[in-house]
Amino acid sequence: MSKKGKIEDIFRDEFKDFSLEPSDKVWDGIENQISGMRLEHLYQEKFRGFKMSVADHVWRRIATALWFNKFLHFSPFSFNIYYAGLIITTIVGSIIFFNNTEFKFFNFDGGREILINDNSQIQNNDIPALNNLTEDTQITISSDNKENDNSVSINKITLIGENSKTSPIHITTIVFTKNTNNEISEIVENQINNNLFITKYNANTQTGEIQTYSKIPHFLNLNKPLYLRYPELKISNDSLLNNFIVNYEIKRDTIGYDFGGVPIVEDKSFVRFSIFYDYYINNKYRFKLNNPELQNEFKTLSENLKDNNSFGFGLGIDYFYRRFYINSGISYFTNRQKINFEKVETEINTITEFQYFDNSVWIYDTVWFLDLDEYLNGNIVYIPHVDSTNFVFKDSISIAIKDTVLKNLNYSAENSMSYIEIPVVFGYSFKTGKLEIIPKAGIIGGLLTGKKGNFYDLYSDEILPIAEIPYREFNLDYYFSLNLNYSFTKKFGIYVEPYFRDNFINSFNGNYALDLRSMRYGLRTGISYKL
Amino acid sequence: MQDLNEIIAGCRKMDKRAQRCLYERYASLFMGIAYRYSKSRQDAEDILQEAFVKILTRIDQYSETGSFEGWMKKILVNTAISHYRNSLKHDFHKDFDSIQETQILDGDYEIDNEEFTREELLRSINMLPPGFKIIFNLYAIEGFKHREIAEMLNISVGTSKSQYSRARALLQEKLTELKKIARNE
Repeated sequence: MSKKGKIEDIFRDEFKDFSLEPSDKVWDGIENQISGMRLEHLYQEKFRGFKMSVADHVWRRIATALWFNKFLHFSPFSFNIYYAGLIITTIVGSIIFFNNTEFKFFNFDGGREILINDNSQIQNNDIPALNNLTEDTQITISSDNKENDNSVSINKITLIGENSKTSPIHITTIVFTKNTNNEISEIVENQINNNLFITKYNANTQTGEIQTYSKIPHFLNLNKPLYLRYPELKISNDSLLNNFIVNYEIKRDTIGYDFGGVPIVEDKSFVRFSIFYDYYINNKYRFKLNNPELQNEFKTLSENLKDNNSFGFGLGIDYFYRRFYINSGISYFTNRQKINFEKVETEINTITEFQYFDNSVWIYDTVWFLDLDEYLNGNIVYIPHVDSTNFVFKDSISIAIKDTVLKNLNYSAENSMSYIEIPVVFGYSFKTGKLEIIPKAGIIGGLLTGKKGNFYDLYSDEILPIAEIPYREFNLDYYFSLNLNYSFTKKFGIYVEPYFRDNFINSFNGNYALDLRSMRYGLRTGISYKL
Repeated sequence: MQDLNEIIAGCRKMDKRAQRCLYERYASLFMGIAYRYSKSRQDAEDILQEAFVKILTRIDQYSETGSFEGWMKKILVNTAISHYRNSLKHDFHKDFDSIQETQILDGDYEIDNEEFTREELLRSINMLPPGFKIIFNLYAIEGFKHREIAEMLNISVGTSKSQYSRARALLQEKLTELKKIARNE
């Protein structure tokens, strides 16, 4: 039977016993979750009264909370097993990559590249005395053996710095053999330390040929000095010890020395700082509506939101290894938006009008006539005669009229949001003379530090203070660019960097009706300083 | 195992058979409730699963003084609310506060109980913004007082009342639209 009811009553009646069959996987899910607890319950029952130390209990709770609840679940904002895996993989991969078993040697003389396995070279050196040397051994030059007929062995250890434990140690063994004419027939020099290099040459005569190989310093030990020994051509018994060994320090950019003792320099690895300014040439927004009921408001916003000279500036730090490049730093980015639009709104006005019309009124009057018949009889009697006159006159009434007017209302809002940003960008350097071209790619993470101004809110269809708009507190962009750096001097350079960056994530919190991402083209200009 | 007390006792001992019995007895009813609070059937099943896990693991906390079904329903509703909270992350309050102003219609809106089908009523509830939907469900269907709703959602009583009025007005609008469509057809 049909009956009228309050909205609440109707809904309550309809849904009081409303049921819906869940799928089988619900129970499977419940079963999965509680089976462990069932077991725990069983143990609890069996071990009722069993005491557990407070420390154990606390530790178990913490471990459970940290490890299982958080650590195993991926979240971009907390340290978890995925990040841990990434870090471990990166570290182990780097160690393996940079500690490969082959050392690279260059022959400066002939320009040939020779690969020598370090272990095999060491093992092939028939210098057992080396193995017995310790870091504490003082400088000893065993010139006593110099007078031997067939061979002389000189062991030399150079300790650099006061603390031999932390300083590079050079162990040089010079073995030379005299021939029957008391001439040096062979000299082998081996230098062994953490940064192994071997200088080896044969000299059949005092002016014998010299081959010099030096190792490109190890990536991980670039900050440590490395010494290269350069043998001079003059070899004689008297001058051997004085002239044979010359130490040259190899600094960051020195990969060796030529025979004249001139350092061979290459930008192998270095650090460069820069300050820069970002100007956004073009900012295109990408919009997506999450709430289909707000189509009209969405259209208004998407057609009218514009960038309002967003800019950024910051400090960059670049690390170059060979031609590879990694960049980070810190920057301040201000995202400025503006929106202007007109909205047609209906204004309802009430106006009062006087309406005129003809009105009439009957006016009655009474005329008294003397009754002549009665008068003749001596009586004075007046007979009343009622007469009426119709008066017509203009009348008016006041009428309230509702009127509507279509009005164009101007809406405008401007806002700015400030972010502190940290990039992680990789690149590869192509260098010709003073010009360097680096294609780059990476990501930029940003943290919202301030917001001011107004924004057009889809829900209320009004301009609201930006504090009421649920902007996301962080931002993540991917970044592509082409860096063109011109070095004026060895240290200073200027660069321009056209770039493209795009939002990975929505600018608003997920529950907001709008998904807004910006795609920017811009130009970065800066000054660089190479350490 | 038919007797509810027996089932409860079995569940306290984590007896699998008793737990299954309890689930089978209430699953479809609770699924109906969960569905009213969620965006989709999948969401409703997630809420149902989470609520049942809570019920089965916290059954020791049931004091046996009130209705067992009521106790379970409260867990279910709270689970639905926290599910909604999680989906909004930190903007839970903002959602309740920032829902657009809607014209509040005064007076009772009366409808014929045979005018709309259950599916139509359900669809009209589901068309409400999530915050409105929760408050409407809690007040109109579950029968909670505004004070209780305010406590559950951690909002003020005034907010609960005003949001309910707006939800109701929106619902009226939806039903009127439905009625117009039905007439035109």
